[in-house]
Amino acid sequence: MSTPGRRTQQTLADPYLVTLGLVVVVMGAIGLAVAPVPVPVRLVIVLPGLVLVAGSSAAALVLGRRHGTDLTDGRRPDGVLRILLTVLLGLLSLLLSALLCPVLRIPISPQGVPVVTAAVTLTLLLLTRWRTLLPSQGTVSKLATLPGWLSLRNVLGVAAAVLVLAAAVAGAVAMQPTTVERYTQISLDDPRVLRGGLLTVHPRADVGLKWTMHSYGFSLTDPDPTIDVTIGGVPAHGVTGQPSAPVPDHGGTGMISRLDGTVHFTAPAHEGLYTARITVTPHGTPVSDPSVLVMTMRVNP
Amino acid sequence: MSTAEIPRPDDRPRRLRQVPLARPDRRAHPVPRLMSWPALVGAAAAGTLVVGVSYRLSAAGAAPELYYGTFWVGLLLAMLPPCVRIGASSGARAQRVWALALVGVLTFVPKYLRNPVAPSYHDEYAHWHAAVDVLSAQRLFLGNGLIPIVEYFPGTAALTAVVQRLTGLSVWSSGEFVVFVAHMLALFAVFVLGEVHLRSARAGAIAALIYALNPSEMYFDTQYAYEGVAIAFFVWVLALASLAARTRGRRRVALTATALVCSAASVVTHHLTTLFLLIVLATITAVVTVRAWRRAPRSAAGSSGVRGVVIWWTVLTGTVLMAGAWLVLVAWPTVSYLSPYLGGSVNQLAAMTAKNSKTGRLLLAASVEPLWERGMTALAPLVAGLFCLKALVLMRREHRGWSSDTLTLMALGLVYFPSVLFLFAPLGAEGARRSWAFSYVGLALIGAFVLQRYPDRGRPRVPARWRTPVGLVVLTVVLIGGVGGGLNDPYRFPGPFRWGTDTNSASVEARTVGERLVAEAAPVRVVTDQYTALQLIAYANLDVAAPSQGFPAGNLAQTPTDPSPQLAGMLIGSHYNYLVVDTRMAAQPAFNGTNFGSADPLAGRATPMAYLDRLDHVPWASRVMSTQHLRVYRLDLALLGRPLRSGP
Repeated sequence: MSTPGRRTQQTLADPYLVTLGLVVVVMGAIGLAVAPVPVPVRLVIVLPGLVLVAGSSAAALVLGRRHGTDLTDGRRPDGVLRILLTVLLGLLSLLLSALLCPVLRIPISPQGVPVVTAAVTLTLLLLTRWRTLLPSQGTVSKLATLPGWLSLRNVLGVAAAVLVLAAAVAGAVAMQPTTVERYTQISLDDPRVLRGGLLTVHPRADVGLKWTMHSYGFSLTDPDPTIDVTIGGVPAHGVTGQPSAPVPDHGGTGMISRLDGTVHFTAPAHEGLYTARITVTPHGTPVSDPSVLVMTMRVNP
Repeated sequence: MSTAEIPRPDDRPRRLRQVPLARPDRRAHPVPRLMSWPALVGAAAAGTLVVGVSYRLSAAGAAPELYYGTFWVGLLLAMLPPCVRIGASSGARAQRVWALALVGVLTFVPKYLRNPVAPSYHDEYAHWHAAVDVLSAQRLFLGNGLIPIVEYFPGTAALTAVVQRLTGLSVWSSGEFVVFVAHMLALFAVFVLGEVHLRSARAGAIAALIYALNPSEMYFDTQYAYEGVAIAFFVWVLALASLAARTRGRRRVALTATALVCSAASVVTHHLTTLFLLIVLATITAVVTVRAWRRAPRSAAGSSGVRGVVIWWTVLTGTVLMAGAWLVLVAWPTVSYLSPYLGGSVNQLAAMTAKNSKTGRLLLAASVEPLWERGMTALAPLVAGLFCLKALVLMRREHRGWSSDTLTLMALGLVYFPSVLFLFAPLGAEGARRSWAFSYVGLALIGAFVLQRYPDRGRPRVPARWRTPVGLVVLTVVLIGGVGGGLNDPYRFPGPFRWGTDTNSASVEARTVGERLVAEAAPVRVVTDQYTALQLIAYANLDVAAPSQGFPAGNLAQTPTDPSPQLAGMLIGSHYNYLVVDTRMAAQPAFNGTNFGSADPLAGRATPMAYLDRLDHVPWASRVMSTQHLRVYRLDLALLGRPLRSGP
């Protein structure tokens, strides 16, 4: 613990070597950030490396390199404030990096962000080096030391506490029930109609419409669903369905399988506007409700 | 520098009077085994698991009494031990700092457990979507379908994007990380603020603990949104400016500059926080200036008091310039976004005082909160009021010896009490709740001051052996009451599907409909209810209509008639070509009261199923996609009024 008039715990390491070491840390962190390194490594090395170097440099700019006294009570070192400012200014350096990207016309990309963050961090580091270590008048400057209560024993204790709490949080998350929503989704496969065109047919024409059914949370197994068509509320004539066999499909959130098909029916004999209602009911599923499509159909001679 | 040497910012040195403050921390007292660190961490871990059990119970549809009770058993088990360490009359500063860190973690955990892997709150969808957009477009200042002005305050999305790029975490986890760091920083900023103004680590830690009890702290400001991030910058501006006002030399300049950097971060992150910051800074600066002018003659221009005035003026001026420039050059639409809330709530409050007015709202309406939690919610402001009265009594004779900024910050805490009135105004309730995160900074200082002074002054009315139990009871009331006065049940607890909530109405079904729709028919502009809209915008980036009185798009589903020609014209002109309805809106009224915002013609009522089924029998709507609960209609409003034929 450093107090006024006492010179204990003042590190006499060469500040040039320390600065060089921190530059190496920053460059290493950037190298890891742009490389295909696993998330845990990046989480443990890259982010803390950049935030702590940038934050501690900025904190040194604010409070000075040497340990002074607490700003509110001369009996204590300002270690807590220094640590808090390190985190605060580290966070602000990240914000500055993001805001600088558009200014420097650098995209917020996997390569752009580490480069700008490194530039900000190194700038802060060199500013600190210049502002707080020079001029040293030929003597080795005194560097900040960690407060006494941040001993190895305490750090290990904190690490153990973090692990215990993280395990408790993980346990609490794990005990939450997961809800699986089971449903089918049917959609018309006619891009023209889907995007705004009116289904227009000739009187008594054979109308064919493609549809696709996806299942979520369960697998479709029935290759021969019941297909009904009504026109204007009355069963249509000449209805035939041609479904394909269900196939696995994991192309969406929770999607399990897919069933395609085409339905044919005979158009009404008279011109006018009709509603055509297509009902597809797959069998052997946990979903009892039929899947329905309804469209307006114009019959033109 | 000793305590006695710290110059007050606005007092003449010769009149500087040392206000008797804290007793110094003592380390000699042995810590009971129950209060040892392993015990504290063990209790925190056990409490966290019990909170998890309460969420499991609520998700399974258990009785509210059961899951609320379980939740508070868990949280109190975890929270009370570190609170005892923080408030202990003896103990080292470091012990209080660690205890405060534990409290910070524990006040973050309930919200984290609420939705650990994906957004769930309304604002979370907006900010998560903003961050996803920033990462995919690789630039800032992108439009936002849920909260349009998020575009002009990119701080949260920018931080999230940087963390995501550096760590490779998911966007959601990166955002949670940012909010967690900001949450901890805010608490410790209050600690520094309390330590600076009340000059004791115990006071600082107690102030931070009281701040952690504010109604916004545990759920609202820990959600992934811009206020939770900006609030840390807000408190740090005050803490650093307070420090600078009491410091000499180069550090004063550096601390002031850092306060300005924090102001800038607030400006680019959140409008309302910046507004509160400006109000607080302006008030402090005005009071500090007037008091310094009244006390110090012009000849004392170089005194510490004047230097303190200069600091506050510098920070205020810098913040005004930055906020003004940002508003004019970047975020001008914010004015039109906020003005209905600011003006409307005052008007509503005034209207409520009129005879037979029906513009107000019922507190805790439709709430399933147990009676005991409601009672504590009502008691919490009373307890805060008692503390303020006690502070006034303690300070009545010595306020002249106090720094102006300290007194002003404390006085700003009193804003909390009139703000409670705005809870009764529909538009003002949101603003009132939002203000508490700021006014509680002042209340925290008041509470810390009272708790610090109480045993020292006069004959203690509570015997020493009862102080801790009584303190814990008061703490429990304020903690439970504070959280109870914050967000409602569906925001706090997971639960079975409940139509009409932002949180528990979310379904994968709606999300996949959006994903499918955008894949099959993009570009798509959609009319839908406010709950389905969250999913469609957040996960499918669909352009969803914002119904209003002038644009009653909800009438498509909420009336038994065809849309008016005016509405049809607006829909065609704006290219809203799809309607998505969730049939569950026919099963029960929306929990929040409306399905289409303030323009909902069926507010407070369930949509009749016939209204929804009718859409299958009109020529202007074709159901081109459907699931068990959702129906997607392509609109062809040019066919409005055309007759449909029956039979083939």
